[in-house]
Amino acid sequence: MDKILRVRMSSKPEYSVEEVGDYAGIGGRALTSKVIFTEVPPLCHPLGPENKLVIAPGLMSGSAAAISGRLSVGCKSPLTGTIKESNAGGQAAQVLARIGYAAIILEGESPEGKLYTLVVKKDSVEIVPADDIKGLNNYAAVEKLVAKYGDKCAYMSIGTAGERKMANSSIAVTDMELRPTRHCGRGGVGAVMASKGIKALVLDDAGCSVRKPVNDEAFKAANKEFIAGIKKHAVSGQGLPAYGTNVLSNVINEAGGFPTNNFTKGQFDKVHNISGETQAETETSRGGLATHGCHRGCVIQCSGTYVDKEGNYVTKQPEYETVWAHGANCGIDDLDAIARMDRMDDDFGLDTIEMGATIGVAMEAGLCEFGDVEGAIKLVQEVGDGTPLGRILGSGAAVTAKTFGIERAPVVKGQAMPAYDPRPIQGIGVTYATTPMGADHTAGYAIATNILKVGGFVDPLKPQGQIELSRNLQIATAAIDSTGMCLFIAFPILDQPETFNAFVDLINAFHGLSLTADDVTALGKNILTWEREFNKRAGFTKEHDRLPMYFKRERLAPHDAIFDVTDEELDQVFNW
Amino acid sequence: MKFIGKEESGSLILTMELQKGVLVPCLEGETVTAFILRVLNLSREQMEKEVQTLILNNGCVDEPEVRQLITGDTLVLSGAMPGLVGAMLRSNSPIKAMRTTISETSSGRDESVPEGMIRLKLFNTVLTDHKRDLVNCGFYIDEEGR
Repeated sequence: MDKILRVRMSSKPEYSVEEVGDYAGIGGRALTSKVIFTEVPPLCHPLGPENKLVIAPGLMSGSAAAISGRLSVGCKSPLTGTIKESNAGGQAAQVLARIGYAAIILEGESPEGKLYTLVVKKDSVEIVPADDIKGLNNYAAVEKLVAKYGDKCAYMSIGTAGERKMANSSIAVTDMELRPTRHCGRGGVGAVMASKGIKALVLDDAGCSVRKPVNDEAFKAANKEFIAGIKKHAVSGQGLPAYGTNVLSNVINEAGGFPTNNFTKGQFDKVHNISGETQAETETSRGGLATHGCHRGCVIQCSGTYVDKEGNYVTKQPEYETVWAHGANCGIDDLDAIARMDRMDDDFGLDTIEMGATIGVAMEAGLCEFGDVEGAIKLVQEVGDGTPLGRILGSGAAVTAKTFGIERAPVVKGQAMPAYDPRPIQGIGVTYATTPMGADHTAGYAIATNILKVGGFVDPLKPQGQIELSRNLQIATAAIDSTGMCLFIAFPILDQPETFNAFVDLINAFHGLSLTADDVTALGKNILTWEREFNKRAGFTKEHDRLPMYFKRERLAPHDAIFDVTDEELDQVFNW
Repeated sequence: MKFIGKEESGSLILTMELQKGVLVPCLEGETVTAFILRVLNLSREQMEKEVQTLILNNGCVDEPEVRQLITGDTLVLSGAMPGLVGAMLRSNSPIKAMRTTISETSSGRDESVPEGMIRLKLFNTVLTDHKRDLVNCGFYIDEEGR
């Protein structure tokens, strides 16, 4: 990973391969955010030629390190207007890293309507017209690409939502079965890829080998210990493999934080019909899989395969966020319908969180009733068809609410909130409000704060403010997002000091470094500083670090809670 | 009410009923910890390892050894949960300051529950691993679907 591929799109696309230079030693989110901060004018239009799309594997991607296959995509977001890092699993990060690229940077713009496929191999780069896949959705496009380039490559693509430059369009990444099921979903990155005139990327690592560590013996030993730690932990070794992330539905509902009917209730009385426990049992009884990885080298295996009553493949196992967004948030308790909408989202190239939140808003606006399965499916189809209504819905929850005169748009900086209501669970509301990305549950996800001692040790025996915790979590998450490691490693790292040590040893042995907790802290703070400074120059102020006012006014049962963290407290999150 | 005991074998039915909540007798003055040890047939060490998420009447329980059960309580037992919020919800989580609003039992009890019983829900690995323990112990379900 010692080179960067720059692709300049215009009427005559061209590319260059350059050394990493000032971007050496960083990967994933650190790299995408540094490039955007350094090279993109903050006031540019997200779909204009001045914006750039940066695709970067993590620091550990392409190696034999377990669970190192996360891919980061960065740009100025058409959904939020802020800097954006959106990441996904799938095969692309591992393959791109093995080919040797720290990043692919897409620049400029293509003449309107012209789309290309970027083919990246060990010793060559081609930019070829994508006339054969133009206008196709992800499943059909990938099928054609596989027929042409083979089943050994990884593929990234946009569906018709991306081609239409919808603000809620994603970039699909193929999984181990060459299905476009893993998505850089958040922030409309698919529209930016379309604006560059790139329909798909073919990543072919034929002739490349696994990235070699600097200290092979130490790396192997650390990797062995790291894997053992992941497998023995109750979350990463048992709960996630058995039920996937949807194991959260029941318990979040029980705690009163499961947003229902467009965030008007905190509990869904039919949650047991869509829970992870029921989903896993449904999948296995039909011949699907409740335990499966999204990329090679994953030892957690939190995904699965959802099949219909006849045992035919429908989609990958819908995630917790998807089940909530298309389920409880829309009053729907039908797993088959949720799986169908997940498939549609993946095919059209849409973020499931934003799409589900948008349908919730549309239901409140009266486009159909809460609980109306066919009505919800029809709305997603409108987006796929690109109708005028579909284009409004494809612009996200905020635009849809504005269009139909609805106050209750559950968004921050234009991006829809995920599946945790911030009134009963105020700590996550702090992160929703203040993250540079717009409402994002993964921005403060890394719960390794105690062991990393990021930003100060949190004594579990003493109450400590959610402001400090949110700050620490955001710093730690930014750092982990740079490694290419899945955020689910945070659980064994939190609870098992030996697994945390193995994680640090793994990075140090691979790169020949001697990273300390202070170095991790510094990296996380640097990333957040770049991101916040970009946003500031793009016109964002502390007044944008707020939840919608109705969360302070409308009480949520069963806790009768409002979001009562003060603005002054929110303004302290990044005061380090 | 219908009694469910050792002869019940329908896996999916049990999975659904135990998620919705079943009625289990509790002893007078019994603490959450004592109830769990008795009903799930666990040692204290096993309980700490296997039952890391405790929710009573929609509020997180951080002192299970002190908290006493009363008729009509709804108790949720679950393994450790993923995600930031999952981590917050753990009993005595190091980041419990992020969920102070739900750290206390704040909802009313279920008045339809008969005297001497609580409603028990099992999720996640506790459901998988202890479904049979609970069946062996015996419990009641509402006869009409809730």
